[in-house]
Amino acid sequence: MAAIAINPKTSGRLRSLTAVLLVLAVWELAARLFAPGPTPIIPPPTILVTYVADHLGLLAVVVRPTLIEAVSGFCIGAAFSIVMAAIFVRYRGVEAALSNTLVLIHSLPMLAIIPLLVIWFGIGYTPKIVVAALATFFPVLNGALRGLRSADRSTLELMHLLNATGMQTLLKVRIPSSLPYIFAGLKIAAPQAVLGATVAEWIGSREGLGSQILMALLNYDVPLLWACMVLCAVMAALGFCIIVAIEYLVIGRRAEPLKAED
Amino acid sequence: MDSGEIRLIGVSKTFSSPSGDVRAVDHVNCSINKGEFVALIGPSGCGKSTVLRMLGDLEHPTAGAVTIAGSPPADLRRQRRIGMVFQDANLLPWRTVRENIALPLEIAGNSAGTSARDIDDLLALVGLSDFPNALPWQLSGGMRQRVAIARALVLNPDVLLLDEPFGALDEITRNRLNIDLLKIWTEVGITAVLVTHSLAEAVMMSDRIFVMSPRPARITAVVPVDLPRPRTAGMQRSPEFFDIVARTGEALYSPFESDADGEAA
Amino acid sequence: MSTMDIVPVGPAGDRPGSGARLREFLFRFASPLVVLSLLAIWQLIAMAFAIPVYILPQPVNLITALPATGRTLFNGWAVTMMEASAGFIIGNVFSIAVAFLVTVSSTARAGIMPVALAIKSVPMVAITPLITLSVGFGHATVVTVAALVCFFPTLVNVSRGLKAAPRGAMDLFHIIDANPVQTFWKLRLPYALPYLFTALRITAPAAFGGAMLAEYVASNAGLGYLIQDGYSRFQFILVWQIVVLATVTTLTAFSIVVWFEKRVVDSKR
Repeated sequence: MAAIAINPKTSGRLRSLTAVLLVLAVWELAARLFAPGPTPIIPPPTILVTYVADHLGLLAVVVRPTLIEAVSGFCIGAAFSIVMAAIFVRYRGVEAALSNTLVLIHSLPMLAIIPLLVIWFGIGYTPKIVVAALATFFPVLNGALRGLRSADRSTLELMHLLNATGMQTLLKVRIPSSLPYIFAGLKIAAPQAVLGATVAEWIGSREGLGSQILMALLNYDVPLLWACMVLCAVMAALGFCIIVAIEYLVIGRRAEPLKAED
Repeated sequence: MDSGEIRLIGVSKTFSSPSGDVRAVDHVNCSINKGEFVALIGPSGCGKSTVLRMLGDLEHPTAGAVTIAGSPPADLRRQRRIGMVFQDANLLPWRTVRENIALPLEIAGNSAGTSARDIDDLLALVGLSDFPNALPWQLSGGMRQRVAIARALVLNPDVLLLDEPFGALDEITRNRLNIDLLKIWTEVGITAVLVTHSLAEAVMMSDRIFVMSPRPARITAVVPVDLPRPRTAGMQRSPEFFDIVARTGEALYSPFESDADGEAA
Repeated sequence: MSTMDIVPVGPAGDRPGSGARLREFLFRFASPLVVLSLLAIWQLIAMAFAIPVYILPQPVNLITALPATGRTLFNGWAVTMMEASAGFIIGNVFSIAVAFLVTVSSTARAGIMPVALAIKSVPMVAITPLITLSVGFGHATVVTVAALVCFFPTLVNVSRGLKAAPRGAMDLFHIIDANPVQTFWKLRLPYALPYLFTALRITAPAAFGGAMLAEYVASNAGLGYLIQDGYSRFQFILVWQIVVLATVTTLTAFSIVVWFEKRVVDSKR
């Protein structure tokens, strides 16, 4: 009877999972032991879960605007940045001219941009979508630039030898070789878009997770605050997972198995 | 003028860089006949790859002229009549073996015409009929180079350029690939130029060997290889083979040896 | 030359001379020129179209309002600066220590990394109110948030950096029987430094931005609070001034780190 061999990747994941479950268990016990009473600051996980289950309807209403803002911003930001990366790679002059401006925009603290956006666009969806798009733009731009430039010099020489047009080189070599990098950028950007939309809601908004968090804080409604926090984290994680799934569908097993990084 | 006849007339190449000018190639003159297999051999960095790249329109001479069948390489490149195999196989990692070989066909589109080779025939020719759907990361170095060779031949070019194609492989694999490449070349009947720094490889493969000096590259000797064709692995152990290797080695190493003796080269 | 695209005919080495010099000049100065011209355009458009001050004040307005707002601005900036610096130091020091721990002990790694990842995926947005609840309103919360913002990037980068020394070099140090301290100073640290600086480049601006964010929620001092206050009192010029000030500060922090990086890393080459 052969022993079951667990391959290293799975055992690593199992260990992480156990660690997480362990943390949750400790949290539950500690919370119950050290801070009993109706409104502890850190409620045990089980109470949180029941709270979410009880208030599903309310929470769904709260989540919806943030979801819309994050997804729209993400799609707009990603599309824009990929196109811009393609232009930069083709016209290095444009990249040189715009690089400082981009660094400037990137270093604007979020809290500085949002009030301005609200002044201009009011308190509807637009400022939040813009913020989410900005949060998506930079990681994806970096990923796309690295990816489009990742083609070997030798491969490009091969295309030159075959008298391929610029468009053929772009479609057959640069874009496919850039996909892993673009997806890496998208994976970073998805949670950032959620975060951007939520923060944007702190300033001048009456609906959505961000404003709900602020209100819960002011009302000292701890379970609601936690529920929103958890939802925020879940949405961010979900965004990440969706990108991973899309990546698998697009790139699939054609990619060489990557070394496990962290 | 035969198609596939290559001529270099007074070809020189100087690279300019921030740290000064580098003369890579200095007045190279030679001609290569159609259907001939020729080797360029020389020390590392001597400029022999530069000569080959000029044949492939990847570099331009700063002086002199390169012609293939009477036209500059640029013309042939635009008609896709040049095939090249690099030291790194450079397969697109997301394409299978079959798709990699098909790449030139896709790029040529309609102009590939009827002269393009059948991919299945090519797979058989390079010995990869069992692996049409494999991905590059699943293949060994030798197999990847076979794919690269097939890809270089798929449009039925007039000229095949090989830039140290087996340099990254171990000797045993290299030997086997040399034999296989000869079989392929015999079957296809194409003008071939091989850059190598292996004496045995040069003698085994070619009809003539151009020995090149250390940088800047000049042709210091032309060694005819009059071993019978088809060449066999057994020939590598024959006295005639060793004799030609010795003669080529003498031409190749003489600049270094006379320096070591303190005499002018 | 390695970044030149091969598709245009001939490598760049074929064309020396004045054309390349002009291109190089343009490349270096195009970007700052674009920024300056954007500023000029901003000024002109705001003037030409007589745009109301609350939508787009002219850069000139921002400057002329300084005598009135200067003191408030400076006080707010000083508070945020102190909180951000404290958070930056605490967060990075703690994170480096954890990075060491994680590199040295694989059990620590298995335990800590998932937790760190979990914390990272709960956005600052969500954690800030929580910290406010537990620590209370005021500076402590802001500093904690700033420290947390610095924690994860530095942890990731520094632990990568500590593993960055190549295997061959590690074997060499082992063969010549170097002790752990020597191995650290002479091998691991030089290899880890670029990663450390990457982390600092990220966290220096992030600490300031994070401090502002925390102030918005949990404080009544500092630039973050001032923005909220100014906005609610329709003092739009103040808001714009704060935006500019915050951006300049973030950029300066980044540049200072880069300057240090150049000096430290280049001196090792």
